[in-house]
Amino acid sequence: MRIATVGKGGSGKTTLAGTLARMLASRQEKILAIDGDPNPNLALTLGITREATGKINFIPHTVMKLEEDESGERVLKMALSQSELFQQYGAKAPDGIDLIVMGHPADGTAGSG
Amino acid sequence: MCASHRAVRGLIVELTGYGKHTVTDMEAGLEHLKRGTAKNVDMMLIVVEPYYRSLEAGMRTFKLATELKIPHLYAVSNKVRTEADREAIETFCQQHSIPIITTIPYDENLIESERKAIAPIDFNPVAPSMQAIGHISDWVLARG
Repeated sequence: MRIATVGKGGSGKTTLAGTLARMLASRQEKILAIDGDPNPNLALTLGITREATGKINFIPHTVMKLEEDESGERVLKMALSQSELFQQYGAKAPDGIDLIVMGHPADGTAGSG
Repeated sequence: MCASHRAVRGLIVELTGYGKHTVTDMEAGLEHLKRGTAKNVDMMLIVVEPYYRSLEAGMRTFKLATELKIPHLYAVSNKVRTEADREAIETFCQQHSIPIITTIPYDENLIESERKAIAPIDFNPVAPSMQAIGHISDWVLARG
């Protein structure tokens, strides 16, 4: 299931997302966590240390490219393979969770959050 | 469309099937909904707090998400300190036909875990807030 948490800043949506991911993962469910918030704190609520959080590479927006398919419709395609994506940008969180963090324009790596 | 919204939306689509579930912490605000990021989501959890502006924002999100036909759409009451808090959220949500999946109490454990930079689930897995979130986990697991 593709689950998303939304809410105002400071509402607790990140705590909810991180905790829910951990709970599902602890039940042997394979989980991918995506931090789509420009203030990336999801790593910390997942249980990644502050130090490791600082080393996560943000995914640049250029990872998605608009292309035209056969029918001429514009579709979003990944500019690199899934395995390349996780190799370059993926982080490991407890319980086998994979995390990726969307960067915001002109950003390099995640801060301490 | 903003590159950021487009990329998140595209990634959610591309990476579906990577794991059993994806959990995406969305950007605050409604912009991503207008831009259609949320179209590729099966379950949306709208976090609301017991004060009017939060509830109003939650209601607007709910309306937009309903238009996008997200199959499982729920409010999550958060930071509930008193019975009056709980009632305020429940009354508001009832008036606007927003289902509440769980109520997370205000919990000092969350403050303390953040101060110590420990994940809340590791800091105190049986904290009241963790138990409340556990209801959502059970809900998801029950549906495979």
